[in-house]
Amino acid sequence: MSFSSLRYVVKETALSLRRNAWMSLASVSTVAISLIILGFALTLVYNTNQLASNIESNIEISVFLRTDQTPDQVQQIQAQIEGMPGVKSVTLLGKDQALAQIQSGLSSDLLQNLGGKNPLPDKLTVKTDSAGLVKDLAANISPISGVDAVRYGQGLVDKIIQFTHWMRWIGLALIGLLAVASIVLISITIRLTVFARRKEVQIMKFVGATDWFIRWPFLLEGMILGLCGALLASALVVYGYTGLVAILQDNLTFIPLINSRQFIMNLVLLMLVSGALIGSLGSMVSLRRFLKV
Amino acid sequence: MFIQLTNVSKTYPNGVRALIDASLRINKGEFVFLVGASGAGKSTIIKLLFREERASRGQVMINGKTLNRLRDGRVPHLRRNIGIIFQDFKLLPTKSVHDNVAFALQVVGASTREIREKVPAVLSLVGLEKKAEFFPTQLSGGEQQRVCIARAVVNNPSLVLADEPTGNLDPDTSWDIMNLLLNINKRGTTIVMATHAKDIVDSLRKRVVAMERGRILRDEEKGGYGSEL
Repeated sequence: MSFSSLRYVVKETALSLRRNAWMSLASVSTVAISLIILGFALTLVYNTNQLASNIESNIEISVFLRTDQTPDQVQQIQAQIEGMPGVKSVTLLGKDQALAQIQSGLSSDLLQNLGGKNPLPDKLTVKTDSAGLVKDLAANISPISGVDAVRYGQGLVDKIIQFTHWMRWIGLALIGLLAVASIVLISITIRLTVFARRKEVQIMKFVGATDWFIRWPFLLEGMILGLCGALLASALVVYGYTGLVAILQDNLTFIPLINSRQFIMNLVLLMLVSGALIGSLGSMVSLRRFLKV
Repeated sequence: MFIQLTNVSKTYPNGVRALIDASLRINKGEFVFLVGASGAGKSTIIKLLFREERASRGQVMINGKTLNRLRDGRVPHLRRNIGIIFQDFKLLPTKSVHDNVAFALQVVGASTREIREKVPAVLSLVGLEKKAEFFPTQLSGGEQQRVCIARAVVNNPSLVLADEPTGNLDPDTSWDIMNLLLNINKRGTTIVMATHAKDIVDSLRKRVVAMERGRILRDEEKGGYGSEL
């Protein structure tokens, strides 16, 4: 493209944006609203994912040992479980510690009441790398000699795995739907600006302009409108989200919201790119019909 | 540039048969009137010549190139060698006279220098050099048609197609426009003009192609509008 053509494209784009100021404003708001919804949907999905993996990584297997095990045997069993693949950590809660924990909530001397004999077993707490491994690991641990019982909240783990799985897909589907809806909305809005200039497009075709020459100003216009909308949406989403995080961290500390600078930067970047893409895609779609002259 | 239509028929998607088995040859530098009632097929011939429409059957050739087989991507290059004049002028109301004409140069990627040279030259050819900064709504119908003609010829095309260029103008203004077109024709540009203007056709004694209901009825050198139409 020659310099004078480039100048023409830039000038036409600026002129069109100014002339169709109201239409441009409508397009920008459409992009902004779509992207605000998109942005909040994204934060929701990411946080749910994080929450789910938090829960997953907190699932533990409780291994109760037979009471006749000597401290040496207990250590051996602990080492054996630590050596299994997928095991993150194994911590021992000795029978004396366990008794002390129960005792701390009672006033009378528990050990004396039990006749000087501690009936509690040693307990090993196994943490795994992921929740999916819990079932298999538990099955591998229970046949070890000296192990009395293995507990891991069997039904609950399966439910949590299913829940997080579905949550991811629903989130992705939601984002996909919103993206399509945004493109449709923007192509309708830009179609109106193209429609207002259809005479111009027709004359351009008649005097021998190539389709790409006609497209560029519209493409640039769509891209700029998309970016403006995305900027507006980013500002609102970032402001709204950080505000929400601040409130929740003060009042509902058990909900761990993602609050890293990196996450917010990625979110803004993603929204800007989506805005530009949606805008240019929208104008391409709406221009197609008018180029057939 | 010469034009050749060989047994061309055109049926529109709505079933209207606008052109039936028409054959016509136009040589370089000719001035040809297409006459006939509305719906006779004059506009269809014009549209076939700049590939706004494709022939349903038969062959349309310009300069040895068959338009039926021309790829869509090549159509812009065909049109750069053809100037088109419309009955309703088709000027952009938001651009000045100068910019309306410059538009035709800009879209084909002309340099700023070329635009600075050619636009004033063509505006003085059509007698509008003093109204370059006016907008179309500030001009009379005749002046607007001059702008349309300036835009059509600024690329120095070898063929000018005019679809009832005087259809919206009063008789005196029509004659001004005709003189302008005759001038352009004298410089070697082929002109094909569809028209209803009987007195103009009768007094100019140019080649006349008379049409009726999609067929070519009569093709005469130095012809008149004819009484059968």
